[in-house]
Order: sequence, then C-alpha cells, then structure tokens
Amino acid sequence: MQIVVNVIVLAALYCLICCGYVLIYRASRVLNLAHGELMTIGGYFLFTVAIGLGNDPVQSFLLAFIFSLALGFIVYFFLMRFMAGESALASVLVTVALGILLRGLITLIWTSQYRHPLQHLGMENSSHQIVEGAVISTFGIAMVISTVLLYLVLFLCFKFTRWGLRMRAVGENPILASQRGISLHMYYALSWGIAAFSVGLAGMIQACDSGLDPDMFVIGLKAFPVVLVGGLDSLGGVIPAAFIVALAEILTIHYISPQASEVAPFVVLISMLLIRPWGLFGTKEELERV
Amino acid sequence: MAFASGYFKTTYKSDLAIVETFSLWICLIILTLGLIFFPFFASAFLMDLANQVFLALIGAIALMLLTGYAGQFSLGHAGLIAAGAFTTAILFKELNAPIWVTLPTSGLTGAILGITFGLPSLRLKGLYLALSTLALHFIVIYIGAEYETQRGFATGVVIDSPSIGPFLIEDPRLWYFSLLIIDILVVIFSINLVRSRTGRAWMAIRDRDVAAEALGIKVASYKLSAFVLTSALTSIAGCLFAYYRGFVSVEAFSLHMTIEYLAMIIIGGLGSILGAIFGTIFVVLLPYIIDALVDILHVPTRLTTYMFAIKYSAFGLIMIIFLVFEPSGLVGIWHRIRDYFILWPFKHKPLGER
Amino acid sequence: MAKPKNETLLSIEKLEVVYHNVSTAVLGVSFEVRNHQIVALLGINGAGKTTTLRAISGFLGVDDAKVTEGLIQFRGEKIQNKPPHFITKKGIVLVPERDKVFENLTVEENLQVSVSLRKSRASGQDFKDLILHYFPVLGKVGNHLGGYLSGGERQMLALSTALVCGPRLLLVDELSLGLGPIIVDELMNLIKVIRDEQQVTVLLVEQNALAALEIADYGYVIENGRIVFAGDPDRLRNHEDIKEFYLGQGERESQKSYRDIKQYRRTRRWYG
Repeated sequence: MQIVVNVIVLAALYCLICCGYVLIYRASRVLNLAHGELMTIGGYFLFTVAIGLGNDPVQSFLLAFIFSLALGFIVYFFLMRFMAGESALASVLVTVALGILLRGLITLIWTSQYRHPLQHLGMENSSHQIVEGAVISTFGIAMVISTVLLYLVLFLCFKFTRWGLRMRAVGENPILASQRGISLHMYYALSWGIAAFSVGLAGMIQACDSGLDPDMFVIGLKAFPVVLVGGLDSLGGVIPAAFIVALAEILTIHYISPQASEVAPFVVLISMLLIRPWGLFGTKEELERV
Repeated sequence: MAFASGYFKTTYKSDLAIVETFSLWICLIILTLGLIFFPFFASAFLMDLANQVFLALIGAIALMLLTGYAGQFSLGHAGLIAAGAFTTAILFKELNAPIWVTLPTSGLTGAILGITFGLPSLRLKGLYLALSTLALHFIVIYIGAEYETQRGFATGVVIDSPSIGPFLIEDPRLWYFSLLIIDILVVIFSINLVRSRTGRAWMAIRDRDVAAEALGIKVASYKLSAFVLTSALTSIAGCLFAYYRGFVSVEAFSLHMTIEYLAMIIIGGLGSILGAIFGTIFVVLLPYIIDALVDILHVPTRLTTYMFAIKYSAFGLIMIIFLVFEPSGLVGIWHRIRDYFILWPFKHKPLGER
Repeated sequence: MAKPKNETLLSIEKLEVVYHNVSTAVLGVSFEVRNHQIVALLGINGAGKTTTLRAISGFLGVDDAKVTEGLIQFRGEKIQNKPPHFITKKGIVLVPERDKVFENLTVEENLQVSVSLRKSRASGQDFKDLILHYFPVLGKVGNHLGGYLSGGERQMLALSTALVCGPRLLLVDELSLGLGPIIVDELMNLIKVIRDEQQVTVLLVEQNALAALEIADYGYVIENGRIVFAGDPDRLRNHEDIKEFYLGQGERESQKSYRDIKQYRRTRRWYG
C-alpha cells in the first residue's frame, strides 16, 4: 500500500514540474532546461519570505507565488524575448546557460547550506495514516491536491476560455496568430509565468516536505523523461507518463537499489523513444519540427 | 598578411593544400616552435593549465564533429568521457592492463556506445535526440557508481601513471609533449575529415537531412559514423583524462562537464575546428582568469568564499552573452577582425565566400 | 459612411525591405490605396508582392526582415516596422497566402481566436451571423478541424477570420492560389459584395490578373521589386505588354520566343 501512496505523491510532483515544460514548449517551441533551477528558486523564495514574515504561512505562500510568477515574466522579457527567430537549439542552449547562472546566483545568495523553510513558517509536517500500512505526509497531501487543482484549472482554461484558445493558436502558428491581433509577447510571457509559478509551487512544497539545497534542480532533470514519454506538446499526456515514471522509480527503489532509481526514468525514456518516439499523446509531426 | 584575401587557387594542388599561403606556413612554424619551447619556460601551474587545455581539446573537437558538422545534438558527452575513464580504471584494477591495452579498449567501448546511442538518431532529431543522449549519461554514470560501490572503491579508483616502453609518463613535461602530439594528430585528422566526402556528407545532413538523402547520401550510415567516431575519440580522451588525473570517480563526470564542452564549441563557434580550439582555451582558462582578476582587483577576502559560485554564474552569463549577441562565436570575431585588415580599405568579402 | 470616397487610406512611399540584413526584396515601391476601393497588385513569382504585403501587415522577429527605407502611412499614421498585432488592431488585416488557418483548431475555434470586434463596423450586425450569411458552408463544418478543410473552405475560413477582426483595409494574398476557376469567380464576387456591404477597402495581390482585374477599381503591376505600371483596369487590360505577359492574349502567341520575353524585360524599365 505504501508503494501506491509513494507513487501517487511522486507522480504529483512530476506533474507539477512537467506542466511548465509542456506550456513553454507548446507556446514557443523551446525546451526550458533551466526548469529545475526555477523550482529551486521557488523553494528559496518561500524560505526567504517565511523568515521575513515569520509564522504566517498563508501570506508567505502567497508572496512566494507572486515572486515565482514574476520570475517567469522577468526571464522572458529580459532574456528569451531576444531569442525569437533564433534556432530552437540556440534557445535551448540559452536556457542551459540561464540554468547555470541561476544555480550560481542561488549559491551566492542563499549559500549551499541545507535549509528548512518549514521551521520559519511555523508549520509541521506530520504523517497521516490513510489506510492500513500506508503513510502520507501533510505536504504529500498538499502536493497531490495542488496538482489536481492546477491541472483542473489549466484544462478548463485551455478548453473554455479565449486566452487558452489563443495560447494554443500561438503555439501552432505564431505568425498567423500575430496577424489576427494576438500579442505574442504577452502569451509567451504568460506561458513562462505560469511555468515558473507551477514549478516554483512544486519547489515550495518539496522544500517543506524534505528541506532545501541548491542540488534540488536535479529533480527537474529527472522529470524530463516524463514530458517525453507523455509527448512534448501534450499536457494531458503528462499525467499517465508521470505515473509510469514514478512507478518505475519507486519499484526500482524497492526491488533493486536506491542508486538505480536515478536511472529508472531514463530507462523508461529510452524504451519509449524506441517504440513511439513522439510519446504517448504527442503529435507525430512534432518530431520533424524540432 | 598571413592569409589569402581572395580565391586565388589556380591548380588542383593548391586547392588541396591545407596551408594555403606561404605566410601562413611561417605563422604555423612560429606557433609550433612556441609550443615546443613553452615547457622550458613555464611554471608547473602553467604546465598543468596547458595539459588541461590539450586534454579538453580532444573531447571538444570530437563534439564539434558531431554537433558542429553533423548537426547531431548530444548531452551525453560527460557520459562518454566517463565511459573511457571507467574502462581504463576497470581494466587497470582488474587486469593491471598497460596503456596500450586500455587506450584502444576505451576507444572501442566508446564506439560501441556510439552505435547504441546513435541508433535513436535514425528516428529522432534535435531535442528528442539530445534527451536520449542525456539518458546515456545517466546510465554510464550509474554503471560507474555501481562498480565503485561493488568493488569497495567508495571514493574513487586510483590509477598509476602509464608507461610506454621504458618511459614512465609522469613528469608534466612528458605529458605535455605526448598530449601535444596526440592533439596535433587529432586536429590534422579532423581538418582533413571535414574536407573529405564524409565531412561534406555530414554538413549536408546538418543543413537539411531530407535534401541530403535525396542527393544520394546515406543519411543513416553517416549519422552513425559521426556518432561512432565522436564517441570513440571522446572515450580516448576519457582514458587519457583518467591517467592524467591518476584518479577516477563518478563525481568528476557531472552534467556540468557536458555543458562545459557544449560551451566550448558554442563560444568557439559552431562548425569550425579553429572554433573548437579557441573555445577550449577560453572555457578552460576562464575560471583562472576570474581568479587572476580577483587578485588584481583586491576583492575583500570575505568574498573569496563565494568564488566558486561567482565563477559558476560568470560562466553562465558569458554563455548567454555569446548565444544572444555573438552566435558565430570567437571564431566569428576572429574572422571579422582578420577580414577587416585583409580587405581594408574595402568592407565586405565577395558574395558567397566564407 | 459619410467619408468622401476618394480619401487616401493607405499610402506607401519608396518602400524598401531587406531580409537577413543582406538581400533586398522590394526596392522603392510606391503606391496608394483609396478608401472603399479594390486595388489589385499584379506580378509574377518573386516580384515582391508578398513581401510588400507582409511589410504592410508587419514583420516578426521570426521573419528576420525589416523595412529599411520609405514610409507606410495608414490614415495618416506611420506604421512601418510595427508588430503585426498592433497593425491588426489599427484595422489592417491580412489573409495570408499559406498557413492561413490554424489547422489543429476547429472552424469555430478559428473564428474565436481572432482578437475581434463583436459587431460589424458598417452594418452593426453580429459577426457570427454575418459570417454565416456570407459563407453558409462554414456553418456546416463548424466542428471540423481547420487542417481537414478543402482549399476553398480554407480560403473562406481565412477570409472570415480576417473579417472578424473588423478590418478597414483587407489585404488578400493570392486569393486564387490552388483554387478552381468557379470558386475563384465566386470568391472574387463575394469580395466585391463584402466591400460594398461592410465598407472595407481591399488590396488584392494576385498572379491571376484576369480574375483580379474583373473586380478591381485600380491596378498596379510590380516587377523585380518595382512598380512598373499603374492604371485603372481598362487601361491595364488594353495595354499590349500586359495583355501578352499577364493575360496571355498576345497576338504573336504562336511565335512567342525567349527573345521576345527578353525584349519585354528590356522595355519594362521605361515604366519605372
């Protein structure tokens, strides 16, 4: 039973992280390799705000949300905007470089010490027994709930609101979208903002659950296979893919070794690429476009 | 001036020449003499730097062949270096093998890995390919780590200096000359390779694979050949790396190493062997340049504890600056400066020339 | 509309467009479009028609093109080198030559995507009814994906998504491209009807000179990035060279040889 719970929590974490990958990719055909760093910074935002405000979880979280969102906009307007018209490869490399820069800045600002934002928030991460033999932490529950909420909101927006529709249009044909009066910068920036927000949220909850240090970005890398297994341009594909990868990872921890679990997502990825390179729900044409 | 200012080739022989003009010969000879006499004046620190540059150069040129010429994007470079290093370490520890066994075996391991991970490239492009090579990285590192823990070398494997015949290569100067010779061979080999049919096929595939296939280029086999060659060369670099350091541990082969190699070819300028050389020198020396700057500027000692993070950020920042403002890299700057002097008082090269 | 019929809506002076900072596609094109007119811009492949249209409707960073010289004025306001969405909001809407609909969105979603006015400027009708009125076919295929439409339906959808933006000036690039003669006639007439009923001005870029001159009020011929001939449709239709090289009605058709074409190429520079 514990395995099932662990898989669900891990899958939720992956879902939160990967929604950003997919959003940015769908809007601007850029794979953001600085995603793990954005996640870590989200965690540190919460930590800093928590120290500043002291024992006020609601306000701390809200302020950290706003910071994360703003960070996404800043990254777009001060960096990625200039990469319009460059090759996809160059844009991806810029995000790689951005990742290095951010990692350096994180260690500069917050040092590489191990941090616990939880103690500054005045909250506790207790364990709950939900069924016989299965334990979940408070923030594990928070992770699952926020994932469900975020995906519900995103799906509804993409399906029923005009900006969701326009976001899809921008991803499909930016030139035509622009000629139909849609401001590209706004929607690109929006995709970066939401991506930074969602991954920052993942970082915050993860930081509360198990502490915070600059090496957290590795989780972002491990989440890559999830996006590719689900299909780079499919938000819906992320959910089953996250479960597959999480299952593979947790099973490897249980039956082989924790060390091997680091590779498990990538083994899943390779087998997926051999069978169905465009992913479970991705479109086949995507292979040609990148 | 040391360079031809236009297209003056009138015979086939001059078209085939690697060194185009007499004055370029002179420049090269001076450079070679400089490189030969460098060890006799340099301090131990400078020798170590030079050796590091030479070691990195092999890997950088290999990656340049794959990414800059064949257009296949790889994130598994550190994994390949690790593969070479661990092949060497395992052979040395288990069989006590000498360098003339470990070096070719490393190359062979690399070639096999190259085939395995080149295979996805037949179906995948761009980002997808990059991420499948990322998987290579993690798998190789995992195998290395498994070996370390299973055999009880928790912190890493120690390797003795290699000996060729009666010579024990331990002295930095001996290393310097061995690496110099290897590097010169690698450079000449790759310059000739990219001028040959293979190189032209790679460039055709890089620019538009469908068109290349339509022109009768066997895209699949040339893609694979690029992967095999690059991986073999990189693994050999990994083997030398292991001997030079005398110590192999998984921690050394982080993803950051891959990014450093990518940075070398980007900062140097994609699609140019000269670029790979420039880029390698720049990236290897960058942390030391920052150190020197800190010394000169008398930064308060309080800040020196942050040196690592500062270097890290500076590295990222410089990469961003190059990608955004100078996509053609150091070699692009060099060409512009050179052309300015060659063509003066004119402004532009004849249309269509590089 | 109370506006005088002859007021200049769009004027272009000595336009020059440079791609990738090196190659010039348009060299000093000047022309103007008057209110409530249908103006045809004719020319062969590579003459610079599409580039001119794109320059009016705005370039993106993706295009790597720039208006380096000249003036584009719309209702007295300079609009060169502005982003496309800004120009669309000003009331210039383009129906592009290729990729004119979002292929993965349904017809209805395609119509919703445009940043639009709710009601027509001229008649005050709801746009949805208006589109169904002009293009009844689109009502039947509302749930189909844009990518699965036929060429004619696609062109209609592209026209209607442009109309929804509430244009004062509609730029149409190659209306006839890849369409059968019957549907071309139909669409051309529809454009005339829309012009009359919705008070829009139309700039029509065409290779199919015959069809375009049917409905146009004025015509320009562009060649090698220059305007070489201008006049009302009758004048264009009756000009010998135009007859021969654009309308295919030359008298010497049987013995037309490469030499003649070269001859024409030499003479045409006199019109510039």
